[in-house]
Amino acid sequence: MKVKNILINGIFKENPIFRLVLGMCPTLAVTTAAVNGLAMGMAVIFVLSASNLVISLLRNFIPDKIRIPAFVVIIASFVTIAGMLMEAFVPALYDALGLFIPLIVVNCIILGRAEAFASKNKPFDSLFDGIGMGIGFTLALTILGIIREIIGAGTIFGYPIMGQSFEPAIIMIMPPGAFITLGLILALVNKLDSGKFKHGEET
Amino acid sequence: MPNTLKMGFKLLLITVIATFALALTQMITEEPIKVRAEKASNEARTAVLSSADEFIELEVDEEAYPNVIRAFKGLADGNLEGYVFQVSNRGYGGNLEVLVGFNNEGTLSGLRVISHKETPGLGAKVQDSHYCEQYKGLPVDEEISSNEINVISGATVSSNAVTSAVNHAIDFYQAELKGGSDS
Amino acid sequence: MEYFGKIFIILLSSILVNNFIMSRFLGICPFLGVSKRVSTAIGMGAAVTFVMALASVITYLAYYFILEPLEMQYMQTLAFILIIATLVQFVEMVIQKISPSLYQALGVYLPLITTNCAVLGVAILNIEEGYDLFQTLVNGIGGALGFTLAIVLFAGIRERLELSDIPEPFKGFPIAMITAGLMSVAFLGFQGLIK
Repeated sequence: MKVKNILINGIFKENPIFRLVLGMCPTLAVTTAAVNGLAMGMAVIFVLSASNLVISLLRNFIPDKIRIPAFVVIIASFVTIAGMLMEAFVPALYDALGLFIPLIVVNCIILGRAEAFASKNKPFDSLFDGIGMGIGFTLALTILGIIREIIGAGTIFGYPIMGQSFEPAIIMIMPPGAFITLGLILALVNKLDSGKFKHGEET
Repeated sequence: MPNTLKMGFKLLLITVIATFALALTQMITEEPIKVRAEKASNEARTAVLSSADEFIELEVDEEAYPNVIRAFKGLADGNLEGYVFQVSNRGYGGNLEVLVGFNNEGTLSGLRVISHKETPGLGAKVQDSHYCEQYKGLPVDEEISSNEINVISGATVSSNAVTSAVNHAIDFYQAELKGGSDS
Repeated sequence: MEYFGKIFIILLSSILVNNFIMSRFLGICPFLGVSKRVSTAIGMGAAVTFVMALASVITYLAYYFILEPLEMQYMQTLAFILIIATLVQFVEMVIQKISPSLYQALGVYLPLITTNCAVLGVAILNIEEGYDLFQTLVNGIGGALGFTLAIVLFAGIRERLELSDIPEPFKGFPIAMITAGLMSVAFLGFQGLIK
C-alpha cells in the first residue's frame, strides 16, 4: 500500500470525525477554542502513531484472545506519556484539555485503528495510517474549534478579528454550540458527497 | 492450560514493560513539572503583591478557615511587605480560586482568579484584568460589600463569589495576622 | 446532616446540572449508537449504571490502597482502564447467563462500554473531586442515571424522527447532533439549580 494513499485516506476519504463519526467526546468537548482543538489533535497524532507502530510490531506476538487488553495497555501507556510530557512542557494546554487527556485512551479511533489496521498490517504502513488518521482528526477538530471560537468569542487562536461591535454568540462555546455546529458540518459533508456521486453517474 | 498461562504471561510482560516506560518518563518529567509549577505560583504571587520578591508560607488552621487554601508572608530584603492568600469560594459552575495580596498600607494590592469553572464568555470574565483591577486599593480592615464592586452583568453569582473569596482572606487576615503584630 | 446535604448535591449535579452527556460530553459514542430505540436505550442505561457503580468503587479502592501508598499515581490511567475492561468482561458474562435476550439486543454495544468515556471519566473525576467512598458511589450512580436519562429521552425523540421527512444531507448523524444540541439547550436550564 502506498504511503501517500494511506495518509490521504485518513485525512479525507475516511476522516475519523467527518466520515467515520468516531471519537466524538473530545471533538465536542475540547473545541471551545481553535488552539485547544489543535493541541488535542497533536496529542492524538502522537498516541495514534506510536500505538499503531508498536501494535503492528507486536502483531504476531500478541495472542488473539487477549488482544484487546494488550492494545489497551499499549495505548494507555502512550497516553500517560503524552500527558506527562504536556504537563511538563506545555502546562497551559495541559490545563485546557484537562480530563480529556487521559480520556484519549478510550477514544474509539485509536482502539478502532489498532483493531482494523495495525494488527493486520506492516509497521511502516501502520505508522502512516496513524499519522494520516491523526492529521484528519486534528484538521476536523481545528476547523470545528475555529468556527466555534470565531462566532462564540470573536477571536481566532486568541486574536480578536470580529471588531468592537461584534456580540459573540456565547452559546457557541457551550455544549449546544458543539452539537449543532458538528451536525451542520456533517450535513454539509453529506451534501458535498452526494454531489460528487451525482457527477460521477452523469459522466 | 499451558496456553492460557502463556497468554497470561505475554500480557504480564507487556504490562511490566509499559510500567517501566511510564516510571522512566515520570522520572524525566517530574522535575520540570515541579519547577514550572513553583515558578508559575511565584509569578502569580508577585503579580498580586509586586513589592515582594520572596514568599514564606504560613500555617493555616484548615478547620477554622476552610476557604483559605494557602497563606504567605511577602518579603523584600527581609522586610515584611504584606501577605498573599490563596482562597476558594463556590462560584456558579464550581469552585473558584483566587490569589489576593494585602500590603502594609492595609489595602488590597492585587487580585487574580487562578482557577474557575464559570461559564465561558460570562462568569469567566471574572478573570479579565479590568474586573480584577476594581479590587485594588480597597481597604481590608473589614469585609468588602458587594455594592462596592461593579459586578459583571449576567454574571452576578460569579462576581460575588470572587468578593466572598476575598472576604474569607480578609477575615483570616484580621483574625490571625493583623491582631498580633502591627508592622 | 450536612453530609447528606452534600450527597444530595452530588446526585443532583451528576444527573441534571452537569449531565454527563449534555454538559460534560462523556459517553457520546454510545449515545449516538444505541439511542435508536427506547427499549435498547433502557437496557444499555441499566448495564452502564451497573458498570459505573462498580467501577467507581473498585477504582477508588485501587487508587487509595494501591497506587497512592506505592506513589504510583501516574499508573492511574493504565490501572483504571484495565479494571474497567475486566469489569465489562465480567458483566458481559453475567448478562449472558441472566438474560440472553438482553445480551442479544445489546450485541456489540456491551463490550463497547469499556470505551465509553463516561466510565473512565467518572472514575477520574471521583479522584479529582476528592470524594470519599460513599460519595464516589453516589457520583458513579448519579452520572450513570444522567446518562440513562439522556439516552432514553433521545431515543424517544429519534423513534419519532424516523417517521419525519428529513432533508437528505441531514439524515442520520447530522439531525441527531442537532437534536442533541437542542436537548442540551434545555439542560442548560438546570444550571444554577445548585447554589
